[in-house]
Amino acid sequence: MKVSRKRRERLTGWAFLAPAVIVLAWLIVYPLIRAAGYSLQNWDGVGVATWAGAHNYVQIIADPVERGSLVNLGILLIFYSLIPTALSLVTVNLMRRSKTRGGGFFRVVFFLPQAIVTVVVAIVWTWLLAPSGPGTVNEIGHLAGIGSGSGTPWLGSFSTALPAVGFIAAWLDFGLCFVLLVPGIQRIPPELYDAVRVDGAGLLKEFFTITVPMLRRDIGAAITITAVAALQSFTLIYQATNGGPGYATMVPGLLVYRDAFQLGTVGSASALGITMSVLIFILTFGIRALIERNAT
Amino acid sequence: MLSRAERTVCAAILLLAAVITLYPLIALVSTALTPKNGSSSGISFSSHLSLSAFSYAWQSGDFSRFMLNTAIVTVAVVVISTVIAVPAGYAIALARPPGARWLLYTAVFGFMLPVEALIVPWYYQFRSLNLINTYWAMILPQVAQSVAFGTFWMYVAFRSIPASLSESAVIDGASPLTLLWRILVPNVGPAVKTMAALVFLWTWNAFLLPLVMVSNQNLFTVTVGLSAFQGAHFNNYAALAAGSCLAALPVVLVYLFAQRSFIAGLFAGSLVE
Repeated sequence: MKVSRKRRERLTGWAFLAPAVIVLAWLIVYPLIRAAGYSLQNWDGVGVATWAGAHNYVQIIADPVERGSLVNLGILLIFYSLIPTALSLVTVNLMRRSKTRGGGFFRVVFFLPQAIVTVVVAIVWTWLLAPSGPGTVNEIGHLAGIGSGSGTPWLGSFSTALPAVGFIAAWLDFGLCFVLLVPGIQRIPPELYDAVRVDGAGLLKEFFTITVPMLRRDIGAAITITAVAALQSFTLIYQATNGGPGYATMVPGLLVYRDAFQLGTVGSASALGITMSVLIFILTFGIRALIERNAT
Repeated sequence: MLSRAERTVCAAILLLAAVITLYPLIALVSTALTPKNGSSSGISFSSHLSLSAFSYAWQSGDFSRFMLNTAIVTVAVVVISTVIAVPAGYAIALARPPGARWLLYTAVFGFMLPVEALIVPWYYQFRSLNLINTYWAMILPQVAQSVAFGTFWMYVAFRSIPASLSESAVIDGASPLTLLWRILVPNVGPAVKTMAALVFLWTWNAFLLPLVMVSNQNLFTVTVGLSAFQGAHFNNYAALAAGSCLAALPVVLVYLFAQRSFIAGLFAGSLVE
């Protein structure tokens, strides 16, 4: 009797797994294999595909537009990931030191941008970053005594477009990092700070000897999540600049869309998509390995 | 011991950050509340408030249809993926049939893949099924991604339930389904809520997938509709702002009412603590 019950349990277990297995096999594993296949071919999406070997991957480095998109991605990583993490780290440390009340309120406010649909974020920031007009960044700067009130088309000029997009990303991700770091800093026993303070440590020393090492894992989580978000910046950039002016804000995600659905080069789009996946895995596991290694 | 100055500086920095965070959102709402065509250059702070831009966006701008489409897709994805992911997570954590671990690895792997890696094959898969320009082309791929996340997420939740709980229920003669829905799911309620909130956010916010899968304007989701509306009426700022507010509102409401659930799910992105 025991055997048959065990067998029945096993069957129920499989029955519970079956729908997930089917969905993941059909719409994750199989398409990924298809994408890997496309990436080794030249195909316009309609006609006959021809073998391309590693050509589409070589192009990612050789083609100036594709290479440029990777460079832009690298720069955006600073804005998406490092700047918001650093700023929120300083902020939570300040709040802890001064025992500021209202932590819950600030948490709700700072996190709010994360709950705003990305297309909407892009639209409102294209208005705020317009060359002139009421309520724009340029006008506010002018009122504060900086700039002439009209001029810089932040998202439209070659030198400022990428940092401007990066600024929007930092605005978006600051609250995310903040919310990730608050519970961590609340876990640090106050005695640790008291101990270094007795030794006469200042703000900076306290920050680097206690806050940063104690929050190692939380910082790692914040950097990982925001870095992965940077790789998936398609919506924000499509809507804010569409990769322009020229290729000033072109990123790999946008090239996937352009290549596959506008230019009809399915192979190069797929090679970029696969490369983006590999980058996500490297970032996620790389940051984790780094943190675990420094833990000992 | 702490100086008063330090406390003031901290409060000032926090307030400044709050202002920078909120200003764009206030500017958006204010623009949406100006009379239609009352705003000639983006943002406006009109003293005369009006809802006319909202009614224009809702009716003439087709946002009623865009919102309905998005709601259909989002509800379908949340419901279907929850129904699939909860039993799968349970089976991997507690029933553990042979091979279950592989599903877990596949789920984690699938959850990390970006849409950009799968959008091209998805398009050709759905094209060969004649499902381009249908709700299914927007629902099914997002179900797959949400199941990938949800299976892992529910596995973690079920794993934390003490084994004694399910053992005593089995001894009492509960069937596997009763055990799952009556006894175990109530114990992982917060995890289910978090999963549903996150899937809701992701699906409502989705852009690349509906952009690629649907060209029929009657099926546009609100994100794609908004983008198309901006392309066609870029200088109708009030209506565009009103449409933006409509698009953003449902997620903001879910966030305000289910903050804890939202925030609890954040660490999921950093994976397998």
